[in-house]
Amino acid sequence: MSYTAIAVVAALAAVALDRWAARTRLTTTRAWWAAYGIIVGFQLLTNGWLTGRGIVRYDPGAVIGGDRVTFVGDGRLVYAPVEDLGFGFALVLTACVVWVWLGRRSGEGEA
Amino acid sequence: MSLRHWSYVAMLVFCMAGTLPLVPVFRLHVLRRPGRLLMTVVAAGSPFLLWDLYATRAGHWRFDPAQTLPWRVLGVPLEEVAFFVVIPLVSVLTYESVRAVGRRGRAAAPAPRAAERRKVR
Repeated sequence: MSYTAIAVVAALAAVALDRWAARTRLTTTRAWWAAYGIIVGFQLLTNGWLTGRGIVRYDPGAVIGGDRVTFVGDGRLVYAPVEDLGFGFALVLTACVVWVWLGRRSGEGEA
Repeated sequence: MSLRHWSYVAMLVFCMAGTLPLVPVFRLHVLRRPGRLLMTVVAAGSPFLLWDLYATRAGHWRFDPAQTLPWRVLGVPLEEVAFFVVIPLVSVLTYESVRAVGRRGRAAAPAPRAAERRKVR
């Protein structure tokens, strides 16, 4: 599977985990989306560093874009392939879901 | 080792430097739950690390040896493994900070009327 396909599947799987498996339903709360909004801004910044400098380089065959590392366009956003947004969304959501789920299980609730 | 080798480390340090101060600022209890935090990092980070190992092996992406430290774990830079610790951590800290701000706002605002309460929650 290409990076594009896995990124889409991961994002959907994370939402499924939140809504139906763990039932944390963070994606229905304003708090989580506000947190994600902050994080995605910093993701663009830090990921731009990783990809713009070529610390991480992508195979044009695995992403929507081509060989060119541009600021915006050709399947890239702030140098990073757009697929990274799916990766980041899934990772951030999964981490929050597990954290909240563990808290509810132990009766800690908020921390 | 040149300064360039620390390029990836610099990004991780930036992430931690930006979020760790949230703990004292919002009086978060996140770090007082080391077990819960560790389980979160392991449970959430592991599947993504596996994906990363697969994708690196499949050639979806690769890392510049000139901008990473020389140590490799199962074919990926040590920094890449640390990434899957740092990102879950900053995610939880950011989420809990937003919730702390929400709590503070509710505490400061006058109690909403019963009819409004459902909307606020």
